[in-house]
Amino acid sequence: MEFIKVIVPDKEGQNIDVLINGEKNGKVGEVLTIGEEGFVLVSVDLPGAEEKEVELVGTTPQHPKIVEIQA
Amino acid sequence: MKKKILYFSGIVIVLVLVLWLSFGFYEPRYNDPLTSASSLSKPPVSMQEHLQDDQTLLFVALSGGGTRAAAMSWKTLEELKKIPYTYKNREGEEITSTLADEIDYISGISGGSFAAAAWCLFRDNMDDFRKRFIEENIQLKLAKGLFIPPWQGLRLISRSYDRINIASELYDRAVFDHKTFGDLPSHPILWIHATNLALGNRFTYSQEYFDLIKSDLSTYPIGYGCAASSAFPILLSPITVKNYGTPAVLKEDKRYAMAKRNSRRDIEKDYYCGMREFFNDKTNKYIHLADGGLVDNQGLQSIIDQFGTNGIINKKLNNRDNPLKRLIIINVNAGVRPDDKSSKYSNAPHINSVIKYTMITSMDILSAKRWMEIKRLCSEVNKTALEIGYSTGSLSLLEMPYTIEISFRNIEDDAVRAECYDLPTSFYLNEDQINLINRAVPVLVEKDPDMIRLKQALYL
Repeated sequence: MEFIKVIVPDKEGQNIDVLINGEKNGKVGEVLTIGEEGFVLVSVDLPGAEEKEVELVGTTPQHPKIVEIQA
Repeated sequence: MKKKILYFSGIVIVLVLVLWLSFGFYEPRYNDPLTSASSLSKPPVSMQEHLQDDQTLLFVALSGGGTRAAAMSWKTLEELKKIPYTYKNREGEEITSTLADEIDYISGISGGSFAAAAWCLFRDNMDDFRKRFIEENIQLKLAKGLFIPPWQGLRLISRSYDRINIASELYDRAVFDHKTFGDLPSHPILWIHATNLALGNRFTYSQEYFDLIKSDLSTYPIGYGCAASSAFPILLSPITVKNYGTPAVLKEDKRYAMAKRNSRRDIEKDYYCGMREFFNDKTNKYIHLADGGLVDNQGLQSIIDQFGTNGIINKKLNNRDNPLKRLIIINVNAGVRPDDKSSKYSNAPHINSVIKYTMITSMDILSAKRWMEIKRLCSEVNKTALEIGYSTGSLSLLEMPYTIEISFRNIEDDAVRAECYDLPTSFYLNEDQINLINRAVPVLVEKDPDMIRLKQALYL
């Protein structure tokens, strides 16, 4: 199990869905579980949001991968 | 005399010709293509939201093992019906149902697939299923099906029609009242698994899989799905489904692209890519399906997949708006260990025994490893909830996941366990054998440590 935290600059505290591999999966600003190590496509459910390919290996709940998405 | 011989020879030739023309091109029923008016307009069955307690996710896996597995599955489901389950809905009202009503996903293999499908279709009248399938001599019915009606057996002249088609039609008619996958309720979600022989991997009767072969699952008979799931090699021929071609262009498909990216370090993703490429190859027009037990005799892999990134368990763990409280996985394992006498003699075991050892041993080892993997994943989920639950809304309520195993190996009484281990793998059990299962299962359900823990949590 891997861990990720998605941040959208200037939109902290807003209720925004995270998209993992194109599907809604948790909210921005919260530590999210990712089923297995490897590459995932990360974005957020906002118009024009960028999509990043991120590699997750060796993350922990205390040290999740922090991903910043521009939207 | 010569004239007579010529006359009779002529009659025989005409008869053979008539039979060949009548039955030689007989086609079994295949799966229908997906049209704009069919399933694409509806959400795939596996994606539909369920209406029960949103904070509980309950999976049941029913293993293979012929009528023994169907009887064990049926009795387990009956026992789950007796366990009251109370929860508060979104409006705050207290609802009382049963643990059986809370099943969200039911996964069936071979004999277990019949009970899984029957549960989804006839849950309020499972007694009828017991009479139609568990107490019925299905083997005898299958044998009779070769001769009654007489044209049934003659259809075997066709190269497209085989013994499995006789079995499919029998299950469709006598067990499932011609119900199709489109007749299933939206909850629980049914997964019937078979094995794609060309690839040696799983094929699940779900719209998600049927979308990949551009086919409509809703018109496909459930009896045919169960026939594929229980088509044990050699005893029954594989069943064939048509591949109408993957609609999506692979390189543009995100799920495929990411699976490909990760396939070197994840064998399941590698299998998934292989399957997509196989379906996408327009020369692979047909998929031949055999017993699902060949690759997963307990139907557990589909549950393991749900722990994956885009699986329902992982999504529920991340759902802050409606946090998951209980994750329950019930594994009904009808595996047996017949007393083996081969080690008492110097002569090598008979070929039948060797075939049995070769197939059953690998199936059992794979299944046992998958169950251990589920336990490990549950333990990891629990550890994560303990570590960050206090600060992460979606994990704050989660109880330690429940992994409940209903298996003959857990029977404490040596004599009863030995009797159960000796039950045959066939599509017929006598009354005493069914009664033995009916006595053993309630004790297994009652004494499972995680079931005891779950009941304590439910009644607090």
